[in-house]
Amino acid sequence: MSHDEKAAPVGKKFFTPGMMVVVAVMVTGLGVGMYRMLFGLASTTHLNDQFALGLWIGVDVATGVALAAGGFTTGALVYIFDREHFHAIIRPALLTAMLGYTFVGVGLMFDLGKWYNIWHPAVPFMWQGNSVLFEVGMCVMVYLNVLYIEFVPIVCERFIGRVNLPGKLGRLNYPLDMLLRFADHILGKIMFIFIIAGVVLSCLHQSSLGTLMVIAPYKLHPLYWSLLSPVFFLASAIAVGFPMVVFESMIACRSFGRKPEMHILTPLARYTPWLLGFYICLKIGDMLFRGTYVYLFEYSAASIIFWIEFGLLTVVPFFMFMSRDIRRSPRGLFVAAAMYIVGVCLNRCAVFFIAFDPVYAEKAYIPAIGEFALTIGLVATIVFIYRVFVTLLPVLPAPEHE
Amino acid sequence: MKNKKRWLAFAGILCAVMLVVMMGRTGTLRSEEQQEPGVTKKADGPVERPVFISVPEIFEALERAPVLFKHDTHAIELEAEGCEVCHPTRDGKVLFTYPKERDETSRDALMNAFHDACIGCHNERSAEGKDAGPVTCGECHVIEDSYLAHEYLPILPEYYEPLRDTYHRDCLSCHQDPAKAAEDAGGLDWKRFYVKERQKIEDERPEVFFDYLVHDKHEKALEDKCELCHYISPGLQEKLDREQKEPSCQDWLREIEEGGSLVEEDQAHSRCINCHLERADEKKDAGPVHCKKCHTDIERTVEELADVPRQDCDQEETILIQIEEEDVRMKGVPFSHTAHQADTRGCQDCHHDTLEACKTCHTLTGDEKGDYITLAEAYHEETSAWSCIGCHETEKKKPDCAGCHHIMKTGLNESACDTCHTGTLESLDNATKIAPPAELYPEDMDQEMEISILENEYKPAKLTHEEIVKKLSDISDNSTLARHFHTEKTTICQGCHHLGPVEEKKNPPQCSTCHTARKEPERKVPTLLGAYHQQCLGCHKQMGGTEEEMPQSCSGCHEEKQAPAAGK
Amino acid sequence: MSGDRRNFLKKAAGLGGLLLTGSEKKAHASFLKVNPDQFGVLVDTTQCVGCRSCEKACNEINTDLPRQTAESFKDESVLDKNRRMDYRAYTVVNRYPNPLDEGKPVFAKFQCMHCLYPACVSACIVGAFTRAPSGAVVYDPWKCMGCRYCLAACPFQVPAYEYRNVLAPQVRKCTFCFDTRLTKGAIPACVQACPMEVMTFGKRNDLIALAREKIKESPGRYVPHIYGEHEMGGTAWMYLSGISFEQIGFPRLGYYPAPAFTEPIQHAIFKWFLPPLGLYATLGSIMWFLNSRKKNK
Repeated sequence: MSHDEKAAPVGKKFFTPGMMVVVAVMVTGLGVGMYRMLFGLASTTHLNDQFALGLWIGVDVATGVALAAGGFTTGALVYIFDREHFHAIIRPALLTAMLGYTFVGVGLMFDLGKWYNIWHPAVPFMWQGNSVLFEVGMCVMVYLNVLYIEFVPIVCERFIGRVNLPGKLGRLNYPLDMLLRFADHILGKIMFIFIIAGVVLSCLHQSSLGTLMVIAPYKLHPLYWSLLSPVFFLASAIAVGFPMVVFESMIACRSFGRKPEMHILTPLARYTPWLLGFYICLKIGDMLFRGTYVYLFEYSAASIIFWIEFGLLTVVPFFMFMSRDIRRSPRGLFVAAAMYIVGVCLNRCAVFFIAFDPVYAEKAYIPAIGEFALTIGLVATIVFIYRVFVTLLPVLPAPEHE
Repeated sequence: MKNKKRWLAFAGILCAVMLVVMMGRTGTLRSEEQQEPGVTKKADGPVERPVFISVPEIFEALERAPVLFKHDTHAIELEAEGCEVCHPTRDGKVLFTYPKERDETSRDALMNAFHDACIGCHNERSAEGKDAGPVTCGECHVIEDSYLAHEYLPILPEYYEPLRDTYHRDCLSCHQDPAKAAEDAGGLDWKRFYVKERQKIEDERPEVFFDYLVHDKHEKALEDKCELCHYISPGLQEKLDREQKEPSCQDWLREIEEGGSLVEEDQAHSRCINCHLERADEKKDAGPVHCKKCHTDIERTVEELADVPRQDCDQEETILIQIEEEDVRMKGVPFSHTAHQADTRGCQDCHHDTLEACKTCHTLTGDEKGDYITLAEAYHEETSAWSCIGCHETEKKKPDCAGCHHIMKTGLNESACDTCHTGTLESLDNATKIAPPAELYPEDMDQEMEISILENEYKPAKLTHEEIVKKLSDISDNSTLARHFHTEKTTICQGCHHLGPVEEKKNPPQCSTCHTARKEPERKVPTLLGAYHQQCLGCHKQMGGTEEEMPQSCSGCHEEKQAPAAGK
Repeated sequence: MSGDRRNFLKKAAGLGGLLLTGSEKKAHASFLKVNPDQFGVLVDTTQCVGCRSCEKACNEINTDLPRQTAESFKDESVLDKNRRMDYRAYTVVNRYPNPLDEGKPVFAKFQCMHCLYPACVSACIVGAFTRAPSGAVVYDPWKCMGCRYCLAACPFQVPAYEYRNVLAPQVRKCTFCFDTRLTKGAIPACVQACPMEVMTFGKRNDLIALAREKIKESPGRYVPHIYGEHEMGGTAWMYLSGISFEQIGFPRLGYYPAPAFTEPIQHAIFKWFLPPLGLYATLGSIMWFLNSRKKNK
């Protein structure tokens, strides 16, 4: 797979002031995580019997999975639909996706009551095929492995011919080098299997995340409960793939003092109105068909959050992406992408705990400080590890002039 | 620096979101309690209930919200100028229609009539510098949430289907005919079913219940001149003149003027209020003219009306209700009209608003006049407020009676037809008092009893048999209804010793004969534990006595044994 | 040529996949079969006096619940506030005002409804919930991961979670006395303990007939509806009441079982794995087509 720009590890200083902040947040978050492990869920969260799925499920799991869609959408675009022009963003998108899904798993570990049983769904004896969550779990598990496999060539590229373990381990240099070459060779031939599998798996689990709440029609506000919920989740996830790429690419470029790669990002953004428009049409059509538009002007948490996440943070970005000027302007593109990303996050949160009205709830669920801290800490950790990876591995394109 | 603005914008959005989430749940899926619009309830005193002006028969679908009109406020404000300020008069009498020039030829005509009258008056008064009402559209046609009753249900067919099942299966189990049920439901269409949006266009003010007290007041004030309110048709008047008789009260009662029934709103308003206005003009004792004074929430109870003299319409004190048709085989039922008058608040409590005898409208096979309710149903329907059985059932629910009766089968009891259908009036005198309990007890009976058969966590239960029987006998003896129906000496005993032979001076069968300690799967009767508690505790709960008299806590009947020091 | 070889491999993989899944029976999961002889309990709320003997019996027999003293169940002040089942109690009794008669409040006992088509059984990712032929919905704590999807799925809001337990938190709900009594031929502890015999244990079909008879015999006493007969597809625990069920704290639910919303979606997606494989094949074909077109340029 030849491409015009070669990727290379970033040669910038690692511990910039920005990174210090990231590390601080990361440590705080992980500290809260340890606290949760030591003292239980009740001490760290406001979860209760009425609101069992809270911020950690809504953001860490659901939003995490949605925002990591950049991986399979760019993969589909470049490899399946053969748009070679976008080759340079494949690797960063893949890295984001890989880290995103990994941290979905990590975040889940903190949320699960019995985190040490997280391996249970992998065991056939405990498979329960009727469960939606089962499909989510299996597909995410398999997809995570697919993502790791897709990432191997990057590792190979970096270390083939340069394996240099310190001290006594130096004896393993040659076998490791052979292993890497072998892997690179094989994967070069069969990577397409995994890429297509990745797209299929992604479609499956993105949609089943939407099916999760379909089981509780009497607890979800009519604006958010629909039998089309899986399609909504899938469509919105596909639509957020490219904005996510734009977002992280621009932040990375800014952080490394590079110019944003508008020659890639602008054409990429041209696809977004189609994808976003499809999602918007579906959602509005469903609202009209089911007649749930009557709830739009009811003064309730669900309708207000709907206006914000759909009206302000989905429809407005749609129009922004339609505008050629905005697509060409780095700031405009960034704002549009960021708005829609927040919109997706709010959408997932709405489905899981904002527009969720359980039968006997006495008060609304407001996440505890600890929940926010861990979530933000995990995001900071992703940023940190991303930085580590792009510093060590050839992920980002080589700078134009150094 | 550009970054800063962006981050600020972000932060702003995030804050807004947090605000929303913090606001919590402000509306729910379920419908909210609807406050009565325009009504502020005060602690005492009559409550003004505004009128909705919507005239559905002419305006049909409204373009603007109905006008909520506070009649009493206007009436009191304009009291000095009299009703004629707003209402038309004819022959010196006020017609309580509005407006004066009411043009009903078309929607627009009527609308203009209202506008000219209301807004015209308001404009005039403000021109004269007086306090005046609003003149702009939105101030009268107020759209308020409280005028709309919303109940939302999701309407996705897959969601609605099962709910439709709920409504269909439950509703149609009574409303047998789906088409008629749909018609009754106002043509609910499934697509709109999910939103039950009822715009209040009719006012819901309490009906004026003309009870004995009000009638008595009128009688006294009008010096027994029945003709001032009641009516004798010319035909009947001729007949009476020929026979040279005075009209009897029954005559006054039975005749209803064509279109002149006081039960109808426009008749009541025009005749009653005009009379009151006249008398007020003549400085005599007059009734109220403001809405809230007649349409009050006040419903006097039977006890409060106990001392009010009932109308004397020459009604018979006791009647034998006997159907005269040939193939009717049930014997007649003796009926004490006087006794029942004492237990009602007004004639309408039994005779509806028609004040007719039951069989006039409720024929043997059902007639439209009687809403197709047959005579048998009218007398025997146990859930009706007007039927004999229904009223007796209500009496049996009172605390004094409910102790025994709450467990007993309600309604008709085939073996008890004879109690009512005796065929003679003399049987009315047979209201038996319960025999003194001492006469009925077997000789060797202890008065201080203990029930120890289920002794386990608790000590044996103490049973003050004598006191219980005495109390129940007293209640029965003090109630005419009870005395007529508790026909056997041992009836009260059967309140607890039920479904078994209870003979005088003999021990009744033990409870454990039928109520076994262990639950047999096929048995429909409770176990002994359940039987004792449903009987004793159930009675105490229903009768609602004090803890001393009728203990309702566990230790009130049986003390707890000291729990052995187990490792609990 | 590498393109052809690649293509062949793809086709082979696809076919192989199909063959594998042809024998896959898992895609045909259907609703749980309901045993017509299964048990149920009919609760007559008009009889309940709120003595909480059922709560006490439940606490005594379920030793994994935190111990509570016998005196604590005599405390009637807890009825001032409506409670829900939580990690301390599998069942609670609540008091509700009676609109028909102020002096006689209505009491209702809440516990797991043991649905015929339980949402929790369908939702649980590891199959920790199963429904026994006797009708009891049973929880296996060993399998549980603590994801709490069952709490979100239950339309009656029954399961409670031990959020305070650090090491091994479990989902807590009424077990129908499955291990302790049902499998030993006895009736559930709460049913036995009730002094007013509010609850009747028996075969569910018999109980429905019994309930209909009770309604017919005392028409003014009960609202003519058996709650649980059809709600969410039917539940083993059914209720009779003298006032509307919403007024005694029961949610108004439809007759469609909860799994009937999600399982058709899941089964459609995985019907013989055709949709995913179809998508795979479609994407593969597009990729091959576009690639070969590029090669031919």
